[in-house]
Amino acid sequence: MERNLEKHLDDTFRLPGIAGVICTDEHGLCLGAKGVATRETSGHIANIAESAARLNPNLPPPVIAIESEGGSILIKKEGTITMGIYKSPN
Amino acid sequence: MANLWVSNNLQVFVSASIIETAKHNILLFPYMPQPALKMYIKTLYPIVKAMDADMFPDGGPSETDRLINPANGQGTPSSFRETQVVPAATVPQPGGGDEASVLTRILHTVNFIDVSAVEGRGLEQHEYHDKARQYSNKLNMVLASSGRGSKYRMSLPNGVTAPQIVLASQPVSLADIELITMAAKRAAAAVNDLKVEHKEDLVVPFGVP
Repeated sequence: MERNLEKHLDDTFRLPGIAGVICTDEHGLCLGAKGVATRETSGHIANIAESAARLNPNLPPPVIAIESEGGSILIKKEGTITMGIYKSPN
Repeated sequence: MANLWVSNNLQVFVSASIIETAKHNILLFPYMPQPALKMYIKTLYPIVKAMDADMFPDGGPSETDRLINPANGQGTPSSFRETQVVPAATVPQPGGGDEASVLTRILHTVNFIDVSAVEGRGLEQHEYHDKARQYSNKLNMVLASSGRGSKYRMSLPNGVTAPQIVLASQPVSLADIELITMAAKRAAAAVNDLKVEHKEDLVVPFGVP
C-alpha cells in the first residue's frame, strides 16, 4: 500500500548527487530510508525539523541544511511527514 | 621660496594654498602627461610670475623684455647673448619659450622633496602570520591570568577553528532548497495516498446458530 511513497523515494534517490533519502512521520517513525540514510536516524531528523519549525511558529516549516565535509543533509517538514535528503559533496 | 614636490615617475605636485601663504604660493596637481602639463603651466604662469616676483625681488628678465636692443642691433641682455642675431628669429615664441624657461628656473631654484623615495616596506605573508600568532599568544597569556578570561571566551563554542571562513562561505543553493521542498511535497502527497488494500476480512462470521 505504500507503493507511491516507495516510488517517490526511489525517484529522488536516483537523482545525481544524492547519497540517501529518508522519510519519517511526525513521531519519528521511519516510513522509508534509502542509501546512506539509516532507520536509526529517523527520530533525530524528525526532532530537528520539529524544533526548527517551533523557532518561528507563524511561518511555514523551514528548510534545514546541515553541512559538513562529508556532504550536506537537507531536511524539511511538510504536513505530517518529514523528508531528509543526504547530498554527497561535489 | 616656493617648494615643488616631484616623484620619480614624473608627478609634479605644486603644493598647497596660493592664497593663504603668499610667501609659499603653492598649488596641488595630480600627474598629467606632458602636453597637458604645458597647458597647466600656461594657466599657472601668472601665479608663477607672482612667485617669480618673490624669487627675484629686484626684477629678473620678464616676458616683455626685448631680446636685442633695437637701437644698436648688437647688444643683447647678458643672459640672452648670441653671436649672430637675425631680427626675425629673435621674436620670442608665443608661450613656449617663457614656459620652458620658467619651468627650468623653478626646477633649478626650488627645493625638491621626493615623496616616493621612501618606500613603505609591506609585511610579508609569513611575517603577518607570525606576528598575528605572537600577539594572540600574548593575549591568551594575559587573559588566562586575569579573572575575566572565561567570560571573554564564552561567546562562541570552539567547534570551528576559523568561523569567519564558514560564515563567509556560500549559503545553501536555491536548487537544493527547491529539491527538498518538492521532495517533501511529493512525499506528503504519497503518504496521503496510503490506503489499505483490502484482501481478506479479518472477522469472518461462522455458521453458529
